[in-house]
Amino acid sequence: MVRSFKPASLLEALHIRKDNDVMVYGGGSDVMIKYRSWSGTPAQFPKDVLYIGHLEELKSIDISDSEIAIGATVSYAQFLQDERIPIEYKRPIEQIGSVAIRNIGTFAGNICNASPAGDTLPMLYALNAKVIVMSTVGKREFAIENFITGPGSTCLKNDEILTHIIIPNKTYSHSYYCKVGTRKANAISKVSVFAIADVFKHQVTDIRIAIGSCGPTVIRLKDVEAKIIGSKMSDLDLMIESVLMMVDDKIVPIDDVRSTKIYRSKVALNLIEAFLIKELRQ
Amino acid sequence: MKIDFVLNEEKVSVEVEHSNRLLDVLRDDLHQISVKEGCGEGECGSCSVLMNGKLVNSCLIAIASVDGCHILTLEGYRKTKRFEAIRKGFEVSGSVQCGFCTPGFVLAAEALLSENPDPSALEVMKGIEGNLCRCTGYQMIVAGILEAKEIGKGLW
Ligand SMILES: Cc1cc2nc3c(=O)[nH]c(=O)nc-3n(C[C@H](O)[C@H](O)[C@H](O)COP(=O)(O)OP(=O)(O)OC[C@H]3O[C@@H](n4cnc5c(N)ncnc54)[C@H](O)[C@@H]3O)c2cc1C
Ligand code: FES
Ligand code: FES
Repeated sequence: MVRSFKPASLLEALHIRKDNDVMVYGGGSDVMIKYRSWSGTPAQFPKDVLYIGHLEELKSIDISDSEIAIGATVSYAQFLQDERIPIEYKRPIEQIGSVAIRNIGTFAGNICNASPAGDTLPMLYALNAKVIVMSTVGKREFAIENFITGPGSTCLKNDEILTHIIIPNKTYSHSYYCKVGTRKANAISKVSVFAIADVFKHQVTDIRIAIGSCGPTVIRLKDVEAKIIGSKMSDLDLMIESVLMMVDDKIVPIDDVRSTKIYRSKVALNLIEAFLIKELRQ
Repeated sequence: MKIDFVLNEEKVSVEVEHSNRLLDVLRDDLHQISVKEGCGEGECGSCSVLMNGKLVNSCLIAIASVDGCHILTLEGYRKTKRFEAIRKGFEVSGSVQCGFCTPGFVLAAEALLSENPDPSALEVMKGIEGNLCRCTGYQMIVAGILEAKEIGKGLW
């Protein structure tokens, strides 16, 4: 039978992590499904479990002029209720799961689960978010796109815990989010796009686009962004076809139980076109 | 593992495996049979309970994380005035058919009304987005909750 640990502090949690081979349990909304067993029986966790969801030290959102630091045990509900956080950043989060899922689910769990369909990820990629991981010997910091290395895999070491997610505290003239799923609530994304842009005097001065569920990880369209930055709004119409071809080259959607390759690329291109042609004009 | 928590305002203590689901502990050890297992994977809301006042699916909660928490099930909630308002609202609107989903919807309604005592129909739909009903077609449940907020005005 696997053992359980419920530390009183982050430091204690880090020592447990160092001295034992344990699985971290945050809100539990991924691991309880992944390891669920027959009705009426306990979840079959593969190894000892380190429960951290209760740790108060990681339950705050700290906001400075330059960044928003989200603790690892902050639930989606807590993030949504925080009035200091810009509405653009809340859009992807308010569509995750359902009321009950948002009460327990966390950014940290979504990131460490590292699904290409994780709905916090397109936004975090587009905003150049960072994650901080800690062990008893110190901390390491990663850009989100370097931290996630493939479906279900990250740079997290066995003795580390993800403690914070850092989002630069900036506003943009335009932001866009669209998630396409089977139903409105509790649906895993078939395709999703998060994008931001700054348009100043009819010129695009910054743009960042990230796509979910169209490859082994979320994809940032850096080549496309570089091509668009500096363009006049009036040029976008002329560029759109070549831009969409670049996007099509970059994404690698697959057929699976939720959708097909063809559907995914069609919808991804449509969403990006909608952002570039319609939303940017608003 | 020994877990202590507060169930419907009474202290309880259970000796269970840490990875037991709160759902099973409530039903099997503590006889809270309003808590139903529908999907067992977080999608139907029939196992809903309030944990420290927040709506959660008890099939997704390992009992170890409940230590020291307050849990409210329909068995406890039905002793309140707020429940009476929701019961009447549901009765006059035909919100209950087979009843399997009802405890979950009642607690989702409580969670919604305690955050927003005057929700619009759209906000009610958002509040019950995680609860599935195979009988009513939802319109009657939305109507029931809108009715309940009028009947129970001032209670939330
Ligand atoms: C019904 C339902 C609907 C859902 N809907 C959506 C949806 O719409 N969009 C979406 O993206 N996801 C959805 N999910 C998935 C899930 O809710 C999210 O991925 C959530 O963010 C996971 O967070 P958690 O804290 O519950 O993770 P947990 O289950 O606790 O952990 C997930 C993984 O992260 C690791 N981990 C957690 N915290 C840490 C940490 N601090 N340090 C190191 N490792 C850690 C765990 O070991 C595990 O591998 C849904 C799940 C369910 C059951
Ligand atoms: S049984 Fe828990 S949500 Fe369906
Ligand atoms: S009344 Fe039968 S499932 Fe809702």
